[in-house]
Amino acid sequence: MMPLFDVHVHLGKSDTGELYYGLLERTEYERLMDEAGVVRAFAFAPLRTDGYRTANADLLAECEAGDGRIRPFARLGGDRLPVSEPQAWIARRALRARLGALAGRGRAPDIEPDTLHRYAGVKLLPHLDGVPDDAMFEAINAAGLPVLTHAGRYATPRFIERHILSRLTGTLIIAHLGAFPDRERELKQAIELARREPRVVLDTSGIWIRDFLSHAVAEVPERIVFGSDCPLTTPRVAWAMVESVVDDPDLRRRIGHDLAAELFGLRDTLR
Amino acid sequence: MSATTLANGTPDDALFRRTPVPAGLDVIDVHLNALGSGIEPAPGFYAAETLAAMQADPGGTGDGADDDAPRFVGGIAAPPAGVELLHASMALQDDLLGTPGWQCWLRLDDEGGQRPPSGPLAQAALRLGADGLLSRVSRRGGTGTGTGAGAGTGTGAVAAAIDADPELLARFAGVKLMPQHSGLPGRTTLAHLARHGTPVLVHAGIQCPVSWLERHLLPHLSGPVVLAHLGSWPCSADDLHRAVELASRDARVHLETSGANIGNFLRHAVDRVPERILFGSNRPMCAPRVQFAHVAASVADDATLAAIAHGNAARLFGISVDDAREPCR
Repeated sequence: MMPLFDVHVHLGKSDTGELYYGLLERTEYERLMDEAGVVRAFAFAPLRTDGYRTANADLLAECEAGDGRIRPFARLGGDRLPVSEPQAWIARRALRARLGALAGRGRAPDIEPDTLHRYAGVKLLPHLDGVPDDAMFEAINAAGLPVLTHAGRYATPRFIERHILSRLTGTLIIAHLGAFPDRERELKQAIELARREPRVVLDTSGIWIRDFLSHAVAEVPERIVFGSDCPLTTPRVAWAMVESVVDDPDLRRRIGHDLAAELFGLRDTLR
Repeated sequence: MSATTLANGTPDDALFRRTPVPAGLDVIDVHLNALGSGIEPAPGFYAAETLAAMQADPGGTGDGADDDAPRFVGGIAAPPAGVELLHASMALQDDLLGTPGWQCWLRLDDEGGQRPPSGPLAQAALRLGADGLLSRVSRRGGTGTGTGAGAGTGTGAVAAAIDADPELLARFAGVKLMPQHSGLPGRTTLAHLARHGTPVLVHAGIQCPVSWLERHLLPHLSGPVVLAHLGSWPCSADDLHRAVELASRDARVHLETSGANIGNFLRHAVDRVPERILFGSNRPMCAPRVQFAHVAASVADDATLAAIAHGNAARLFGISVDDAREPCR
């Protein structure tokens, strides 16, 4: 079994009551890691409506209580939200966030910037959580952390390039090949961005359309990294999806292990 | 049910199956898209696959199945988008004639029939139950949302063939509809489907909301209705809830698993209407072996998994799993 890195895991409890995220406990994910051959994973709190200050701290403690195979990402938000679709709820949400910020009632900090170094990276969900401000990006850059961002229908690669990549000095992992859930146009935008910007990589999580994955693999094979999106599915199933498209064993190893090991400076795990 | 009890008697709160999938489980895939003999694929971004290739590699991953792996013993295939659908459906039917475990959908094009709401205004009207009013207004204004009841006047080749010879329906497992692309069949065609009790596989989700199908399609049918993607394509929790609720009170309604790649979506449906869930992969969009692995991981109970894998489909479509296990002829 090839040792894998899984860069996209939701660990802990969401308070949204939505079906998307089941409560994935660390112990269950560790069992799923063993089943799939995942040797390292990067996890963040699932979507919350009350901010991530407590969720980030809880996740950090939970990862430190484990055996070190799971590293936490700090989940951060902000007062700037993309309005990339003509949907009333998106406009309402973005407007409320901006007006709140102008009135001095902006989003409460999701983390103290001087604690960022305890995390392995940062997770963003721009259309629901917003994008952090310049001061937070300076802290992210100072800590040298990679950023993983949701991307697709409501958070397009174009928005991400303009409002996230432009303020980041390190690696940007664009989740879902930039195309969640089934957006061909955004897939092509993300691939184009990865082709011209060496700091950008695309993760495979949440992609269940073979044509999307095979297109990305054909266009930017060196820039694709494995993510499972667990608990939406298991890492074993998510990796089977990758294997169903990628035949070349060297490329499988690049996607499943080597690129993530390179990004996170962990090159010694290939047994 | 997905909830189980551990050996020590405590409830198992795990999201995913702890035990191996039963060895050699038979699987019938009710949602395949295949090219029959002599049918050329349409150019485009999405790959097409021949029926022969699917039967040669039924799991779709290229690796040989060992004794313990699920066995993909049969399926129901429809022509993919972009081909001439009547010709392509007939080609599949010819190819599959007499092949145990395999059937095909007559894919029904019907340009000009009712279409589901598109755009934020029409979708908001649907949520408010005012889509009929919007349709009447928009038809006068010429915006063509096509959401109103009774708007269908079919002009497609398949509909015309059914209208000319309704016995054509008996040669197929049922019809497949993609109303978001080609609209619903006209009234005459729907009447033939109702008279024959023809099963219908229909795309359902954001582009083709379950509430719209309930209002504009189901009243015109008498046979089984299979909502593809658990009714939730690509990941609409609202439509999933409506689809499960609809299945729980309408015995005709079944839910097919392709594209429903959120474990909790599956668990929600399986916990409530386990006897109505049918396995589908939407191949070639996803390999059946991968799609089934996802379903199996999310269903803890072996008997329920077997029902989803083949039992419910065998009952609904009269497929003999014993016969289907024989190699393709």
